[in-house]
Amino acid sequence: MLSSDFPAGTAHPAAILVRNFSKRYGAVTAVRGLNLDMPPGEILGLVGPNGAGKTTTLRALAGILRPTEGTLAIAGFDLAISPVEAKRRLAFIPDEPHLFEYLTVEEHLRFTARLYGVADAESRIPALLAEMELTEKRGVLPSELSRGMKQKLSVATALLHDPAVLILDEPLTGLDPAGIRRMKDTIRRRAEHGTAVILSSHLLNLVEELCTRVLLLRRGAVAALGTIADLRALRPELATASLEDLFIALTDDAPPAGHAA
Amino acid sequence: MNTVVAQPWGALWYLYSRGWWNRLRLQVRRLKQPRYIVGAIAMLAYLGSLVFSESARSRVAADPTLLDVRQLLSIVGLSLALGAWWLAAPSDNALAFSAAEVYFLFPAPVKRRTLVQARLLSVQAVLLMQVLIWTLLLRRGGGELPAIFRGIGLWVLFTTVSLHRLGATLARTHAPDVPRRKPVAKTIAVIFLASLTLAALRAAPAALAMWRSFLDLTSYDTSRVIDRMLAGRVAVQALLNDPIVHVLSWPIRAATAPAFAHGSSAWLLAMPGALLVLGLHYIWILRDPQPFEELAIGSSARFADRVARMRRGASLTTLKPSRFRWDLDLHGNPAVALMWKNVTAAIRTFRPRSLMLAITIILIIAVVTGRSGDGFDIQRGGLRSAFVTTFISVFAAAVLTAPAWFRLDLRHDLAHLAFLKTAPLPAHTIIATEILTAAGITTMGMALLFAVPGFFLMRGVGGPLSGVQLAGTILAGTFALGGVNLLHVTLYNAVAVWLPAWVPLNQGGASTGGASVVGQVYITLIGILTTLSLLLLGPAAAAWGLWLLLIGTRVPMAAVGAIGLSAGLVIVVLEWLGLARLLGAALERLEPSDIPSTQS
Repeated sequence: MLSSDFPAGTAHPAAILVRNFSKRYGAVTAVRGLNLDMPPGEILGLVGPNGAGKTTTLRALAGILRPTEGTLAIAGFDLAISPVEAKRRLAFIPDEPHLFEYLTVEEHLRFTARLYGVADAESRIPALLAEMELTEKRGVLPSELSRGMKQKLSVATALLHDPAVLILDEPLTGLDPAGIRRMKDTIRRRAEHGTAVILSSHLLNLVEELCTRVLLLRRGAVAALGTIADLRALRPELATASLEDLFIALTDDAPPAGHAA
Repeated sequence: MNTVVAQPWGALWYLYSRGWWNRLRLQVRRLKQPRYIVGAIAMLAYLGSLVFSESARSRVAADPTLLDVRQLLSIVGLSLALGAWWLAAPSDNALAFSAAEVYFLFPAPVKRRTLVQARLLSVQAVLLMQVLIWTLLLRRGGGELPAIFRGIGLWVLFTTVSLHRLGATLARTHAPDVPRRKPVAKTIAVIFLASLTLAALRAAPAALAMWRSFLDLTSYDTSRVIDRMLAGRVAVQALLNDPIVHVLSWPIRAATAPAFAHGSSAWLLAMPGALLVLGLHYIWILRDPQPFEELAIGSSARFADRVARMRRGASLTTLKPSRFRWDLDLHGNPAVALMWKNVTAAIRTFRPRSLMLAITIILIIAVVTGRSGDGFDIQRGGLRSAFVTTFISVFAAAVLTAPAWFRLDLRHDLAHLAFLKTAPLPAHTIIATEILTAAGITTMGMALLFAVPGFFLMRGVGGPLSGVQLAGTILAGTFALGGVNLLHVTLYNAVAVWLPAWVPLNQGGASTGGASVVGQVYITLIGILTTLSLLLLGPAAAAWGLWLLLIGTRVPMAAVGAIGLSAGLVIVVLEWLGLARLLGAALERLEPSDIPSTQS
């Protein structure tokens, strides 16, 4: 188990702990020197312009990419040393739902239940299907689902094993207004129950509405990290400006690694 | 607003010529990567061997009484293709434009005729490449015809065939919301094909008699394979010489004649007929009343969907949840979930009904021929020997190719790398489960197809073996096959994990193309079969050594066989475990950017 920087007496270890994380693709550095601690129940918004390193960071936290340098831990388990234990505690929802074309909706959930060893799956599966409004579609294959329904199924499989860490890459892509509201409620509810959520999005309103803190990446480095108020404090002259203006100002000319908190 | 007269032909020429040029530049530029340069060298070496080999330069004396055997094959092949295009389920690939072509060309101020011409122009790059390859291939025994003449003849033939396929697709495809027209072209085609078939059937007895008399007169070859091929050529020629067949098959003979002409003068004589057939096809396509745009948009969307499915490793067939299924217990070893997923995929992809039908047909033929009075005499021939020979050949082909065809393992799941990497399982467990499942399904399928029919077929053929001994031998063979399949499937997965960018995973090469890719596929096949042979040396040596050691002793022969087989399988499993460990470590290092089909 790895220790975090949270004060002594904190009930839980950091849900997500990142130390000096860097990722290089050949000569290109996608992310460099990232440090992050996330307690259980926090919702962190990961924002930044295209090519800032958001997806690389999320994929590394999900165990899909191996860091070139640094340490990544999920619920105290180092992804490099105890990958299976770490992965048992996380769920990753990509922007495009990647489903198995030959498994039905319900079979996706049964498959996930067996894979993650979900003890109460028999009762949780119908509840999740109902929550995601997929009960009537339980016997159909993904090819018969709309884009939004596929996304809902992807979310359902991610939530089935009650992960300690939920990683979402553009979670609202393809959802209708009702689906967007339901997704936001789901994220909030999970956080209230102690799940640490990290989500990447270009929708700044979503980030402002949901997230307790924001991590702003620029050219692979931390441009800012903190609450929206902390970010505004970095540029007092933009105190009354929109979040969009603040975002553009911070990503345009902010010196890298400027921490707000 | 200042406007000038639009020049759609100029725009089209610019579009396709720049496209071909840029694609060529891309293919040349990617030769910097070892995988492409190695593949390109392999392909160039092969083409070079065709151009410069002695046999390529040799000239075969033409027999003026017979058509070139390659022209005969082309005529037969084209006749069958015509039947498929006009009578079988229609495929609308011939009408498909790319998404960009639909987006830019269809709303543009161009006539329908220009769109049709655009379609014809867009296939020219592929046709010209085919012309080049076939011109080189046909140098072997190609007579006195200069290569440039043969190339022009092949271009005329391929373009005619391409036009005909487009016409057949237009005639057989219907756009929704557009009233159907009278199927004039289809009626003419069906009448033509029916007349040709009837005429051929009428002439068949005479051709068959010719075949038999040729076989009675000649004996060049003790196995008589060559005799039968030569007799077949004579018989097909006799069929085409029938007056009615001769007249009806004229368009096909005319289209193929220049490409297979034996000399310049014969080529000059053949060209007007071929150009006439080509011209008539061109006029037919341009004047076809079908709503080209509507049909092409529908075809393009379906084609794009098929390409997208191929790229992400999805099945090209429409899947439906089947009643035949294995219910997954929600508790227990998580690796079983992975196994269950792949078995479910196999059941839904391969349709148990089709497999059962194939098994039943083979079984019935095996039982019937097994009971027939024919002895197994390859020289004398007969129903049983013919079927046994075919059966063994198909089995051998299945052993060599089944692991290449059945791809529901890492070759399929690497398209879902994010899922594999986030699954709470050690990488070597994922590897082992994927490979074991694929090898198990492949072996089981082959056993179902071949073991039981093999028993009925081989009874009495295998010499002194009793029924029980034969069954035991086949069972032992199935285990041995399982071992071979385990290593064979592992090697295909090793290529997928170690060299994911070497050949496109789960893709039909729809957009990657190029001679270097074809070369890569050949190299992969040769590499896998060579490595498999090396890996099987140890197990085979152990099994054979134990056999030699024990065969003269008091140990019963069945036990000797079982001991030898077990020893061989133990070594196979040890080799496999080592490979699975190595592959597990490689899977841990693998990232989405390593796999072309998962890059976005």
